[in-house]
Amino acid sequence: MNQPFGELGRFAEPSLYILVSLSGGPKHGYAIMTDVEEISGSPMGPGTLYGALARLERRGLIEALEPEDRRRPYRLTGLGATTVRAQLDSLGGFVRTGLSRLDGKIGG
Amino acid sequence: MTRLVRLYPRAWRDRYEEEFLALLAERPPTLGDLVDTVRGAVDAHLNPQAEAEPSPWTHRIPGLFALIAGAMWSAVFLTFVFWPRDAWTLASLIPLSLLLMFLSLPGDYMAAHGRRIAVALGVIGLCIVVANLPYSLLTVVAGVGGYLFALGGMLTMAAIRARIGPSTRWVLLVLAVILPAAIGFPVAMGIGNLTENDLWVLVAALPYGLAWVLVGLRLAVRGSPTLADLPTSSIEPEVRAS
Repeated sequence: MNQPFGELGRFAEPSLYILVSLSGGPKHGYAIMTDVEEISGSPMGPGTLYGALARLERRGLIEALEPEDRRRPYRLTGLGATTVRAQLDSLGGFVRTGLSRLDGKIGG
Repeated sequence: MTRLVRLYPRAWRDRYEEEFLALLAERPPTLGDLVDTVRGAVDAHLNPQAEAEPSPWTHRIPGLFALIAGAMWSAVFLTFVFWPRDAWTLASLIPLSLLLMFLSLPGDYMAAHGRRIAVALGVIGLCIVVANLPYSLLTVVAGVGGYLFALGGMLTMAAIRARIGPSTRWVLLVLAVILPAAIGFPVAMGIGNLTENDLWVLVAALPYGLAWVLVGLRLAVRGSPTLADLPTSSIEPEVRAS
């Protein structure tokens, strides 16, 4: 796990889901929550969502837009896009390595 | 569930409370959400991500206006009862008190809800017109109703600016406006000739002044941006919509 995610502790995984969700465009809290549930297959609680959002915002990976009524949308920053891409590339490499080793073992 | 938000630190609430409550309102919370919210509050205390920004002194002005207005209102009615000789001199402070109350109202909120504010002003205007018709039960109802609607509306908007929650705002409205009016006015009217040192005057009017003192204190301590500090983009779309 690279540096920005490493220091997020238990919020690292929810943060990655949120960044992936925001890669599709700006969303407010509830939209992120439902999108993450769709992506990950498990619900994300409101405390976890806002714990992760606060961390991501503080690190400049996302930014808050003007509120729409009481709901405030968030969008990915340039740094956030670079970070999530690097993280997904890293995970992709990890997945490929794991699968190839598994295939080799099964094949051998 | 929404009360659990109070477990979060003030700086966090200043930044995230509104949208967090909006999120909770969008779906029925589960037991898991409840546990997760408490866990989030503990985390927010242990690892604060949102830092409180010190309010500039100009942000204290609306609160000071509300505080002074409430103190003046209360002083006038206390004088009316306990020192009636000086009461009519001090009575001129009531319009000044109302002006200060008005100046402490949230301009951005009023701009964003321009249509509602216009309707409310229309209702108050109509009440004033009806109250000035030849005396009848209707004129009394319109007079008292318009008076309560105006005072209650101002107190509610100041409470919104002080970020007092809806349930507490209702309690404040009932204790400071509705209940005193429900008790004070009928008794006063039943007595017929309300004397200057009648304690019912305090029952009817003092809670309103004290409520403004409380709201003003909270507003002064917490601070509130003035219209000049707010980005125009946050106001204009709402203004256009209304």
